[in-house]
Amino acid sequence: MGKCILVVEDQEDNRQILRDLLTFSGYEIAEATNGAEALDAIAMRRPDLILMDIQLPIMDGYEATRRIKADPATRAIPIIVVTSYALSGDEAKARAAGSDDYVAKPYSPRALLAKILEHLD
Amino acid sequence: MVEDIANQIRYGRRAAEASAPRWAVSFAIACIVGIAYFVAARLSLLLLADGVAVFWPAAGISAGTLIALGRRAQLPVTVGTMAATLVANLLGDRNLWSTIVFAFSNAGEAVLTAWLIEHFFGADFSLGRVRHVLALLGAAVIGTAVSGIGGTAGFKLLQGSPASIGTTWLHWFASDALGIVTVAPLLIALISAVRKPPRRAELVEGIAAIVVLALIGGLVLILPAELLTSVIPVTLLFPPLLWLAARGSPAFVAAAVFIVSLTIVWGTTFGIGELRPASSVGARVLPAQASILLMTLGALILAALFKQIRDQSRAVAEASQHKSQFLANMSHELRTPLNAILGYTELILDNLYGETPDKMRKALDRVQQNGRHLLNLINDVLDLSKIEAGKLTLSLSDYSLNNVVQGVFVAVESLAGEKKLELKMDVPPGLPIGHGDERRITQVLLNLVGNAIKFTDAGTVTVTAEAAKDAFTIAVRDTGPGIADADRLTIFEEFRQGDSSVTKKKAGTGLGLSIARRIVEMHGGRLWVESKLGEGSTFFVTLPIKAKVAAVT
Repeated sequence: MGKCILVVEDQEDNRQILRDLLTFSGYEIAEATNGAEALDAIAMRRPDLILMDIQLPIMDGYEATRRIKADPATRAIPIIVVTSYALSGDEAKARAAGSDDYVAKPYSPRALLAKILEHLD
Repeated sequence: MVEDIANQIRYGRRAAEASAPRWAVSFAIACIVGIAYFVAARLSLLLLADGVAVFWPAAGISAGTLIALGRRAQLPVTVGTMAATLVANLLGDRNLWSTIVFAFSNAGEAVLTAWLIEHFFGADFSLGRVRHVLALLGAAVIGTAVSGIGGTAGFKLLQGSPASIGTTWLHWFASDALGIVTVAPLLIALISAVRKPPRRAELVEGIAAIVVLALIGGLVLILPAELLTSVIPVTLLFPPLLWLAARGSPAFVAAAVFIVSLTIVWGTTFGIGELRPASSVGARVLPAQASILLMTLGALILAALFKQIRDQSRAVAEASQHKSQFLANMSHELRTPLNAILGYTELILDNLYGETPDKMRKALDRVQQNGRHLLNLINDVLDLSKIEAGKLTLSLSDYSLNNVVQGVFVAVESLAGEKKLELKMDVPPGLPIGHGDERRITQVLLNLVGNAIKFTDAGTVTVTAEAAKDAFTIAVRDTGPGIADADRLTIFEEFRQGDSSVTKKKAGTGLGLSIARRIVEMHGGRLWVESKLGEGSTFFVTLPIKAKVAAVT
């Protein structure tokens, strides 16, 4: 069974890109459109890696990252945060929330895939 | 009760919601205005110069209260003014009938003056506007000219005054008009200061200047005449007055104007110092009135002018802040769809959706190039708006300048190749490790080298770097058209490029250099250009090897 990646992203187009990229690369994917859904999805099935967008409705990426990293059961799951270039200090905030890595939006799918591989090995 | 009056003053129209009944508030206003009017009137009667009041501050109390509180204070102010006039005059030697005429004249004067202002300028009279200050003068002149007719009738017909009709009217008109112009602003400003208290710093500065004014005024009146004329002339009052007019809130200016007026009135009445020319008291009154009028108007107009300028510059700063915020939001919104465009393009180019034919690949390459270009433009706009909003911060870490230059070289190699330009890097190995924002420094060099390639049609672009004591010096030299002297400074300004005919051919926002310079300056370095038309340009960057804490621009 392929490894499972949870994609937390509120924009359908961007989810579709990740869907295409990740399934093509042989991963299974789970999807969530906000932080709260992400927590539910993790409870249903523990993913091997999480791609977390920051600007999300209901519960943003920082908060979701903090909660996942605060829970001993899910702490080990690597989280790659997708930061927005627009707001300086995003990287520092993502690190403070406990993320393992980050990519800036707009990201190159190729570069993103390389990052994912780095954390799954 | 006191609280309700304060509420009435503080919240204006919401007074109806106050807990005390409306009539009680009105009664209180009537009492306060009445007592203040009475005290001012009695004091003025003590200060008569040759039987004539230099100014009549009581008129300013009624008119000022009415202008500040609006039409709903009309009844209490009228009642208070009339009652005070009756009592004050009957305590003197005036007969009942003339006193009644004076009472109507005094109250009518305040109502007419306030009505004129409200009619032409609405309820939001402000001492911070030149037009309103001039309107106050106009309304006071009309109001007192009319009430002067009643007053003159009272004096001539009922009091049997010996003075001529013209002289009587003129004295009434001049002293009441002056009273309104000097005292009404004080009340208006005080009431508006209760509604919106001034900031602490403003308060301290204002009170200090007022104390200085009062001291000088006191000295002018108390010191013996010989000492006074040589040591403390009346004109010494003007520096603090002008200082307040330029910097203070209207309340302090109005208070200052009142103090200076009082000093002049006092000096005139008792013939003190410079205010004691050889002529009689009566002959001194008109010049004194003229001085008070000019001084008051000058200070109030100056204060309004300065306030308008202050308000304008604040509005401009706010608008600029909004613009920066708007640009930041907008460029974020633009970036989101761009992520999808660039993402899909890359996936198609990577044959994710099947083998991509060569023809289609060429088209997609162009989509990708243009998408990246658009992204750069958006990033430039965003960077600049962040710099302007003071929100661009450096994230400092150790970096290798050799690596940075190498990275820039790789990034622009193909660009130079397309234009058949020679690209040379002359960087000695083993430069010291620097401390700074690597991403931003890369951005600066990419911009400089990118520009050099963009504007050079044939020849060489050379990048050199060296380390002196504690600073790197990086030079980007090209064999392009060069930059005219006139353009050498403006190219660093936002939205500017050199020769606009060139600009049209070379895409760009014209923001890059301005951003680059700010980034270099935030590191504590310098960015400048040396160039001659026709002989190419060299852009120099000096950068402290160890940048300190990011300076806020």
